[in-house]
Amino acid sequence: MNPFSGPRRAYASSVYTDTFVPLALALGYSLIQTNNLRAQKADMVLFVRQGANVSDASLDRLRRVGWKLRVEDDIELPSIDVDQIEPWHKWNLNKLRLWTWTEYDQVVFIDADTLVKGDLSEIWKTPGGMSSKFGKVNG
Amino acid sequence: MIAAAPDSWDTTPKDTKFNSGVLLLRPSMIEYDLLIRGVATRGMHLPHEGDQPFLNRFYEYRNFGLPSTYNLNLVLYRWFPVIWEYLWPKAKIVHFTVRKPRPPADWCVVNCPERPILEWYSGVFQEMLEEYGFTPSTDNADFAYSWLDEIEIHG
Repeated sequence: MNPFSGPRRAYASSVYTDTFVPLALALGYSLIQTNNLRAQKADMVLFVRQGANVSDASLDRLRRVGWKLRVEDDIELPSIDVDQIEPWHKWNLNKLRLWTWTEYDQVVFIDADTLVKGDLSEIWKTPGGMSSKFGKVNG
Repeated sequence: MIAAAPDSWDTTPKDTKFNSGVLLLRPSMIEYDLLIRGVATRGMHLPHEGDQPFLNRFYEYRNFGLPSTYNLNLVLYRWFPVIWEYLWPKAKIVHFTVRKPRPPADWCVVNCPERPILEWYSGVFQEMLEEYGFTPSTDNADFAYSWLDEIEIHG
């Protein structure tokens, strides 16, 4: 990894079922309207559950508002029976998959039932998600 | 370590637990393995739960607080209007917790208290549709734009 390339950052959200598609469109639009992602050196990355069977037309729309799509299988958690999880939370343990996105130093996950209303650039300097040389040595 | 903003409920504007709807995190396979082991550990995840209670247990003593403006919870609009009015101009992310901007049709029947904020959402959504030319006439049936009309029908 090039140490001079600067931080690799991503804003992330998720589409667990196709009812999330319009929400992710609105969130993505609000994010680019209110934030200079180039200046922040941040990507917009959307986790789309493979099992949601989102149509090609919807995937195309999501790309057009700026999302980089990651259409992926559900997280495998042998101890968890998703059918016992309350329906409105059923798929959100997939959020744990964000920790595997190691091509990024920092990820800001934002639920799809939101709108971004202001500049978020300070968040990258918040402790808790900061890159740390020492942290990297220790994993 | 992660960073997240406090959760809000109708009984408290600032819970000691965080809301997992906005999370700053640092990807790490070592951390991921710990999370996977954690979620399988007795008492860390109850069968009916999603991610939020688990993450609050896992990071109970290891989370940094983001200001409430990073996850302004719609529940405040009705139950803590003074706090809402204070935070709204500064808000960076607005979270539609108690009313989802989507079907079913009864999401804001007649006059739900949160209607002005849902209308703001609708305005942003409409602007997005126009910006990209996502008009209903070119839409496939699977594209759930139709809930937008429900604001007028039920509003």
